[in-house]
Amino acid sequence: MHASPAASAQTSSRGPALSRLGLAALLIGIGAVVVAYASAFAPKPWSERGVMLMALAQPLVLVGAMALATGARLASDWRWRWTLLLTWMMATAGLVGALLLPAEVVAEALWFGVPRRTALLFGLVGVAPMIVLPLMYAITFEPPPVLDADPSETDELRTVS
Amino acid sequence: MIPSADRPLVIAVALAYFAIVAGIGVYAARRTRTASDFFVAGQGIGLVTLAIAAMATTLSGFTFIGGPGLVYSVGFGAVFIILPASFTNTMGASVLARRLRLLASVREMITIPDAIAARFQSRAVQGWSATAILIAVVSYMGTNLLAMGLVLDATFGIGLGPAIWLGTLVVLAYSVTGGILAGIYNDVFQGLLMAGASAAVFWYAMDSGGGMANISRTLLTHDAALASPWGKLSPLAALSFFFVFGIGTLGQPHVAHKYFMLRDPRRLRWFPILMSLAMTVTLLLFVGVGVAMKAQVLSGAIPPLSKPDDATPAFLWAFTPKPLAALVLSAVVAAIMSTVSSFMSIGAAACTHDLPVAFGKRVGDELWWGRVWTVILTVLAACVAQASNTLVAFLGIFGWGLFASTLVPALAIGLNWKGATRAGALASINTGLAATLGIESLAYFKVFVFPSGVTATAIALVLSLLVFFVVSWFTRATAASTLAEDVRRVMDA
Repeated sequence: MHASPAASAQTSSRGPALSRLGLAALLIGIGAVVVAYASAFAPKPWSERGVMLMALAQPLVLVGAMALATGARLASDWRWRWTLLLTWMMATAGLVGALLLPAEVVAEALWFGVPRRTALLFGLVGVAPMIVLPLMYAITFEPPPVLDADPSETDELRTVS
Repeated sequence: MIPSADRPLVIAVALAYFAIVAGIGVYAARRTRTASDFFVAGQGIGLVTLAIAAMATTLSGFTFIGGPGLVYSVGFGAVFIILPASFTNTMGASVLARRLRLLASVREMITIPDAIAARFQSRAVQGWSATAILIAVVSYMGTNLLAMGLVLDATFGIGLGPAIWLGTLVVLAYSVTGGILAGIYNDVFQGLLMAGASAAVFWYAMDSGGGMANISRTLLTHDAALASPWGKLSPLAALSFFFVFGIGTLGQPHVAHKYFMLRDPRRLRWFPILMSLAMTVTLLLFVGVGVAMKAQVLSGAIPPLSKPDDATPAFLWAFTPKPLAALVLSAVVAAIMSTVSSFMSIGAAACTHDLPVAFGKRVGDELWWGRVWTVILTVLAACVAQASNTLVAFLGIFGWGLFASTLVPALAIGLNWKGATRAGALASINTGLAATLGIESLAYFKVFVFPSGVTATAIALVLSLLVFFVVSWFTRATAASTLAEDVRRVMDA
């Protein structure tokens, strides 16, 4: 389980870079929200494009925040990288699909008891992340290093403050 | 709301509920001896307790009354309020829980403003964040105490004013004596009650409508928009809900504060799973009752409701066994009390600890003053609840949004981004305060009308985030100097 020194060095340098990627995603998402709200004051088609931007922004904001906070884990564990990437893709597909797919009709086919568009949204934005994210968080969880160390290291941190 | 013949049963269940809550309060009071016990339960709670308590604190009476009412009105679009929960449980653990718990192990920490102050090494930041928390707490508590009063008045028939004071006194009794420890233990009892009641009612909701497929078919036949993913909301309005209740979760101090209390931070591994399970079960009623009632009304089985908030009570009395209906009413009170008790604790901590520290003072006996401020703030909130419905509705809007706009940047992003600066944190907290109060007032009194889907809360949150990043960038030369060595190691851990 212990990585070689070279691998550890590479992981520790990639961690901050991946955190910055998360920060960038968060910033892009927030920027998209700003533009979306600004476009609401504008006439069509700008207001409609703003709604699409708003849909694209949401997964970026949430996944970006998680990536910002877990840069080290992203660098060291490919499973967590793929978890966030797939979650982002699924949520984006669910929200964009809900905008682009045709509206419901009376004879609509039902998936899992709800119309197809609703099922896609609930599934991709609701059920799938609700199952995948907590599960993969548990599987890839690393105890905070300071707790793994000798308790006197915690005392050392206290004396620093 | 409650038929006269059923009132004795409802009163009996309510009294049993109050007796259990009181008993838990007495037990906790005996174990509360220090300010640390009073504000952070002595950092001794287990993971399952944390998860259930966090769920109960997060979900207020809106889950059982307002939420189903909104689903009844607008259809599936209302689900956008709770849909972010699929992300926020893991996001909360990643972004906040780990950092806050570790910070509490290297620094003396009993409040969220303590954490923000430690991050930016600033008493001013502590003071302003505590001020924001105080304003939001009193507003939020006022709304919740009014909601609790309405339910208790419907139960006991004693009049709204006395009902507000009855509920206030019960939650005050266990919060003053047992502090956050009483709050946590009661949160667990209340959370289990909420989850059990929600699951049972959901089963009856599906049964009453012949299953979700039949319910959906009824909605599609009479008003297809209700069954669409956006419901009768505009897509922008639904996505605004998602945004505010998504990232805004990271700024709710009554939830974040609980992360300090976990006995063993290595157990955080399982927190998102437990929290997701607890929330999913408890939110079943939110969706199920709303759509089931709408289908019943649209098919002509029952007359239309006079107001959407009658969805849950009307469903309970029409379609569930009376004991379950009585239990759910107690669950509604439980949901409100669990949220209110958390607000009491953090509001008292803001007055007892954060504001004095911000001015360079320390209160001598924080345990005693914590109890005093718990009483003062709760009585103030109860007086607010007694005021006009208009005022309470206005104040209720502030709560979530004010927390989100003032705390998300400095707390959530600040604890994960070393480029954040003290100036950025101060600017974002003040922007959040001014923007939320100002824009909400403009919108509420219709001085300015926003386009459909644009909410004052979301604008305040976005503004605060933008200001945080922009000011931090301009003052980036100071970033390293405002980051203490122990905090840096916590952020790297």
